[in-house]
Amino acid sequence: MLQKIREFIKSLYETGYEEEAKRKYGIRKILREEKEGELERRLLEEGERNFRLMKKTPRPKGMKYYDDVIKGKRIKEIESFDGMVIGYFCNLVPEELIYASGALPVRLCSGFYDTINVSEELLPKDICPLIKSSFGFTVSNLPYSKFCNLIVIPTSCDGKKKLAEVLSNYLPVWTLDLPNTKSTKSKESWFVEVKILKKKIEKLTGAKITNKKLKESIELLHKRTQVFRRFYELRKKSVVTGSDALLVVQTSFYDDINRWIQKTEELCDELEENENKSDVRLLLTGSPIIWPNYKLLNIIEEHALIVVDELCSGTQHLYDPVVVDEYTTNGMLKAMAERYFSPSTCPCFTSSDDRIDRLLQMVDDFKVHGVIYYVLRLCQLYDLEAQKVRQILKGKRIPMIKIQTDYSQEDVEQIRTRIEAFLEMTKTKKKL
Amino acid sequence: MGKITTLRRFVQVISFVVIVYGGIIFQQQIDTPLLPFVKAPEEFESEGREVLPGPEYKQVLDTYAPIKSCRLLREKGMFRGCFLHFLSESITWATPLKYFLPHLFLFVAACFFFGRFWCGWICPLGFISDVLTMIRRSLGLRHIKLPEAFQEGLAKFKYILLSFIILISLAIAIPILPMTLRKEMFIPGCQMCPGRFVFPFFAGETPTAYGFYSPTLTFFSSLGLLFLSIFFMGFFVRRFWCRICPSGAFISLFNVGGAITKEKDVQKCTRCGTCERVCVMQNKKVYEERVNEDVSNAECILCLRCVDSCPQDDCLKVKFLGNKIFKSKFK
Repeated sequence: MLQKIREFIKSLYETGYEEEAKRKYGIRKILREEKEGELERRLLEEGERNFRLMKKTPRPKGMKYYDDVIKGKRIKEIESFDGMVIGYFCNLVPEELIYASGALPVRLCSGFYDTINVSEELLPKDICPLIKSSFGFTVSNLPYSKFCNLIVIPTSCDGKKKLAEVLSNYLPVWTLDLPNTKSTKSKESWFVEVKILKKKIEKLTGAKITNKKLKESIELLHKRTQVFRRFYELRKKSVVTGSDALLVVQTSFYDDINRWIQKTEELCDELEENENKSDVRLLLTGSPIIWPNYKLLNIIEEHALIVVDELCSGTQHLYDPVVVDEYTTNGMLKAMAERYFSPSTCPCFTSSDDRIDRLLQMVDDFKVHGVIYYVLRLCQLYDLEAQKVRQILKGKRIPMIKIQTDYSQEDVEQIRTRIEAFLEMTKTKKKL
Repeated sequence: MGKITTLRRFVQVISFVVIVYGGIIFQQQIDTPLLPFVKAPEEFESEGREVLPGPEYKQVLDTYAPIKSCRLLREKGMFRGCFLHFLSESITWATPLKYFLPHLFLFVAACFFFGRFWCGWICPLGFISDVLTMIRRSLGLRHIKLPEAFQEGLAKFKYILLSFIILISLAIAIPILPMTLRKEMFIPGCQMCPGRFVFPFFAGETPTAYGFYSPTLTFFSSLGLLFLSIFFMGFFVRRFWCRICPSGAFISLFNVGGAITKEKDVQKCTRCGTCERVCVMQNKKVYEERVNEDVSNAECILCLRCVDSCPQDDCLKVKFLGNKIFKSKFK
């Protein structure tokens, strides 16, 4: 009897989730239009170009480490890592669980232009470049997708939802059913989702996620949050450029966490002595900007300084801590589920209030002169929220510019003209 | 465990010792030169004296602290009677107002200044509940969250319980009911209170048995046993008894608009939900407030776990008469 009940409960948990793990139609052939190594070379080239542009302003010495990691120092390490590598999209997947299972989490969101061509053969043209680029990464078997034993995708925006399906033809993919609101009911369903993820990861890695391991990984990631908060507080003194700050965050997607914590601690020590170099202080918000697509950042930082960003690939990825109330399995999982869900400012949620409050607080904290609202072309969610943000910022007398672009370099000059005009306006407003 | 909780535990342990063993420690009567207008009520004649001994207050402090151990344990030297006991007894015996009012006034003043600070920091029953929680936590067991609708019902139920106790006390004071019935309804709050069963163990005394030899007694005793089991269910449901405690219900009337206020910077709040999750009273007010600064409310026992665990600097603040005493900090 008890066995039957147990099985019934188990079946409740697993209905509908097992499907994604099965690759129904078998692995498709990996597409490779270009020459062997061509895309890798292009990726490096793109990175180098970014570094050249970033070098216009003197960079802290500590940044060299992050440059090396993003250039591909980490690829070899992950290649020789023996254990599971779990890729994920969005900043909504509990990394603690992955670390606790002994696997390595890697965030796969991509900002590489050249893989878009590859994926456009399989995907429609009119979808967000991030989805196309990320899909192309997997299809053309580039790092870090190629090391992944599994991909976890939260069903955030429409693009991500369907990305999960198309990717499941190539790699095992699990989706996390993300509710659309932040009601109590949604929180509970998200909590169940996290519990299921725990079971799945346990099954994949074959190692049980014990309380002790979970606690250790929560403490480890809390250390990371502490370091990041220190870095974030330092940015109030505008000691570092926006592109450098974003690079710091984005290396944490791949890098060995202990080393990252140590290096960032060192970087913070260095930055303490850095001088203030702000002229026009800007806040960057909107769609994710991901290496190597630093086009917009490079244009802006020719003349002004991005003191803070509110991107899910930036501040939002590391800002919130897991606050554990009770170190029981349930307590820890709940704390974890809540950290990724409740404070999220993702526009996938029906209400944008949380995001607007966060933005206003940043405007106050960082004494911002203007706001750059970046919208990735065909990202309707961020686009839809722009109007409300603009109106509220107008009430605070903070100018805002909406830049809508994609990963290509075609519109660089256009954007530059608009940004320059905006900065001119901001400067005049500042003097008044 | 944050700084505020550590401080709270310290205060809790001390007040537990003082309240439960205070009668032994402070054998001598406590004189109150500071409060000359509050005198311990003297012996006075009243109807029904022949049934039960009337109140014999010898110490001022005896009478107005919201929870102390029961009058049934007078000989052991424990502090006697919570305020609810005093209230219900005074009404029952129709204590003259000149004895009753100063105590009531003092108690209301204490309520105004501290509100349910009492519940979170001082109350020995609350402390025992916290100890039960600590034991459960160290065993690695999860706590149970009550369904929202049920929780809302409980919040209202405590006021029903309070008015029930006061009404019964009033009913006894009116000499219409037959004496046998009245005798069994004396101090109904104490008859039902889990403290009646719990405190004697700490004081080294056998608790008085729950009587079932008449319908009235059966009614009160079964309610008492129900509340006792609710108190021990506090092992799984954090501070279960505190959610329906009638004494807490009385103090909670002064929680909003009192001297202690809890404030939230709504813009700084990231809605991470930590305050709701850590709340032992399952109070959603702090989390849900999005417009007003003041988040004090009747259900809050001011244990300040939310302030302690809030990861946003300065987002939650506790003020005493407008002066900041505690604030949240990222750790």
